[in-house]
Amino acid sequence: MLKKGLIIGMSLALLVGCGGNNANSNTNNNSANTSNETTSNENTASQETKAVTLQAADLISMDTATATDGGSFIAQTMCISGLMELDENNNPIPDLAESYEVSDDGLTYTFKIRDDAKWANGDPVTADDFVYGWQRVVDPANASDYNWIFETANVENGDCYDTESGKTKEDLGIKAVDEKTVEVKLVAPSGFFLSLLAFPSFFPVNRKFAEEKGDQYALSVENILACGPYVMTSWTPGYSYEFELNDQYFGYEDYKAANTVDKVTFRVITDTQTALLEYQSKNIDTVQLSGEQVDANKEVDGFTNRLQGYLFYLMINVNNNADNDDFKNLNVRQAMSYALDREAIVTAMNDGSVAAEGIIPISLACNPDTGADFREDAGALVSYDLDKAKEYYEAAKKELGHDITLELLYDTDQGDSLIKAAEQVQYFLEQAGFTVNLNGKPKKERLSLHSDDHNFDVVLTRWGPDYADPQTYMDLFKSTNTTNNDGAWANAKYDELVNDAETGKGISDPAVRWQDFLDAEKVLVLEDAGIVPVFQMGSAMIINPEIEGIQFHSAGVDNYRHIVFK
Amino acid sequence: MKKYITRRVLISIATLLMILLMLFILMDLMPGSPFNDEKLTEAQLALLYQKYGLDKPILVRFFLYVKNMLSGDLGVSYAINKNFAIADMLKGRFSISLTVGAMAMVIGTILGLTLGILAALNHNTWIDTVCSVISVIGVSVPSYVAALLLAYYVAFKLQLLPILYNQSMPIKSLLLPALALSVSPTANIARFTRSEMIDVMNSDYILLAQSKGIKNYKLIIRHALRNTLIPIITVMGPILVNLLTGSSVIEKIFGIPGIGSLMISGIQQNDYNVTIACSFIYSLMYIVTMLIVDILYGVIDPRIRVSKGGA
Repeated sequence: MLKKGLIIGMSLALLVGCGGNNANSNTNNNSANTSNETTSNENTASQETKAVTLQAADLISMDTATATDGGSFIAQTMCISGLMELDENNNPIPDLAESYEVSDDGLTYTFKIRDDAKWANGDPVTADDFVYGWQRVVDPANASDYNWIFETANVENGDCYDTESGKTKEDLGIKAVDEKTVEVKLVAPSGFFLSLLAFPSFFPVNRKFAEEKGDQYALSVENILACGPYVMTSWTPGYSYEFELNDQYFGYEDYKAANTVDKVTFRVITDTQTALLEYQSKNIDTVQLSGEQVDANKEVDGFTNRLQGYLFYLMINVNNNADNDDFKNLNVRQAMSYALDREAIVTAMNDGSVAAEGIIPISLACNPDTGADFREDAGALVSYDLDKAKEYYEAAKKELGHDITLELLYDTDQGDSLIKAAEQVQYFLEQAGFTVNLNGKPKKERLSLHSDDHNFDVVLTRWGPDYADPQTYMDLFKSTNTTNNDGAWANAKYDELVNDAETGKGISDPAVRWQDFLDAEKVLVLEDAGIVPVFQMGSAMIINPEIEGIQFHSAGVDNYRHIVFK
Repeated sequence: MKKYITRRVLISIATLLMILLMLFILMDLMPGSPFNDEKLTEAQLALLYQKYGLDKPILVRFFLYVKNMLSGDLGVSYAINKNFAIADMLKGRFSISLTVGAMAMVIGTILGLTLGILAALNHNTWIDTVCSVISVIGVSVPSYVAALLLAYYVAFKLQLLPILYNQSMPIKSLLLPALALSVSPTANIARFTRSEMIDVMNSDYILLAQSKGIKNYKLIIRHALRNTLIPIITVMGPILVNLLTGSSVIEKIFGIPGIGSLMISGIQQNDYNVTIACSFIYSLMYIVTMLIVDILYGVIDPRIRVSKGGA
């Protein structure tokens, strides 16, 4: 068995962060805002409660087995701990794990759970709680959206969620060796396994408590049991949900000593106008800004442009049975790629989004040897060149014998900036010669049109990373991926490179794996223009300059556990 | 009257069942599914459909739903508050929407009647003109514009009331949304009252009462207002239902966890059970309100009771 320090240095080198998430740092000062419930900075032996109120969307689920959205994962992470958590630089650090060991072949992980790890009702957190928590996710009865995640993490029998696999949840490669020791078996070493342990699907669930609550488990404050730094103290759907420091948490004293806020309230506010007024009235400590609010607030203390992991791209339909065959023509796709002035598009959107340079977003993953960001190593694979776009268009027109008309499918219910983006894409494609008809639909309908019916020409779609590794994007465009690759783009060279990274030489050699992904992205975006990257989503917000400690992760769950007043 | 009411109730129940069936069919025709996320595989979708019984034929689902509904089970939410019982979700939200709607109705009725009576009694004077201008503005300004103006000036600038709904002071924090919502009913009721009142004031029996020397305030309250109220009550029913169903934008602006915003989310996210339950409740409210209005109409004017009862 190798020891922890060595492991981090060697087989897990992929995990080491690239030196900070550039999404945000709350370093503003000269505050003009204080929370209405806070004691502000005067914390000299103050007994008053330090509290923050943050703007949020409605909380969908507190069940780690059924949640699917970022907001739910953030709330779960407030009050439930995993074996690991992510630090501010995206590195996994122990949470409930006191220590862990990895076998020489990188296939067996043995975690020792802290003796003082307790549930809020005083029960010890046991190895069986992890076994139970994981098994709930793969249990077909729970129909979890994330039931595949153990398979992605290379956990043995991770495919047991599939009833056709002939396996059951008991076959999943996690075992309680004794009350405080968890053993996880992998089928192949995984560079991001430890990071994934900070993801709620990998969290423990108190078996006795959950079984007692039955189908009411996690549906109300009384039916949720915390083992993390906060306990949930109120939850009014559509209105707010609150957390207070958990005195049963092993790190409680450290949290108090660090002056971590005692209470965090997430207030559901969906209207951007009144949210801003509420922030300006000093009633809330964070506020999301809409595109039209950005300019007026750019100079406000606490203004933050937060870069998210979502990468928006044009998926092009090259299905054999597609109505329009034009997109099989490489010149058509190249013309589309060169036609887009991505800088102008994100300027028009004005919401903190940045121009895409490839399919892998900024700050997702780092070079295992140098620590450089993937985008630094890969460089910009797309560029705006109208002349070139026109040349490609003319060449395509000559080959096809007609002008090219396309329908651009996009979402109308995901914010104004996305509608602006679609209009901008239309404008720039038309500059190159295309005729573009916009087809805006609500997201559910848009998805149905291209996922179920494959009835589309070009769709402006997105992918949010599930874990901090290029694989989360690279898997999308493999010819064997019939779930996500709706455009049916297929390229043997690409498949070969991605397979080599994931199941070939890349398994044992992180450098080879990295290079394979770099080369694969080049094939996808540059050589074959299988998809056309457009922008990486950003969100503009204002954070009360008096607070700090909110950790944004472009992949993984944002961490609101460490908020302090400066 | 009893026969009339019984018949109306039976028709209402049949109508509601038809509405429910229509809702089921419409939900089924809607593109996409509640689970149509880009990350779901077909196998996962099949599991979800199975878990929530959506793999069953529409008629089976309909009858199951009606059966469960009779025991108060409206199903669970698929997307908005995952696995929450819809009945529980509606409980809290319904009372908030009802409160804000009722407050708006009270404000609208008081202001509307006052403006209308003032205008009618001062027919063709500057008071009438001012009241009419206010009414026209009230009808023309959408409630969300009024809401934003009130939020900015009354709550943010003057800090007289909270900007957002606050659970710990519900009435105070619902005053602003109620005011915003009441703009349109105020104007409608004022206009209606004015024209009715002018008609009534010019009628023979009022002239007779005046000639008999009945005091002015008695004349207005006992005779004129009572007769003016009959047609007004008929418009107040639909106004009330409009207030209750049309408050989704106001709920969004003021952060109110009401039923209107829930229904919009339900539609956007294809959360079938939420959409069906909210739409059904709105239909129920509409039908019940109309029923009550009809009955009240009869109570106020015996002529109607007699004629309808005999029909």
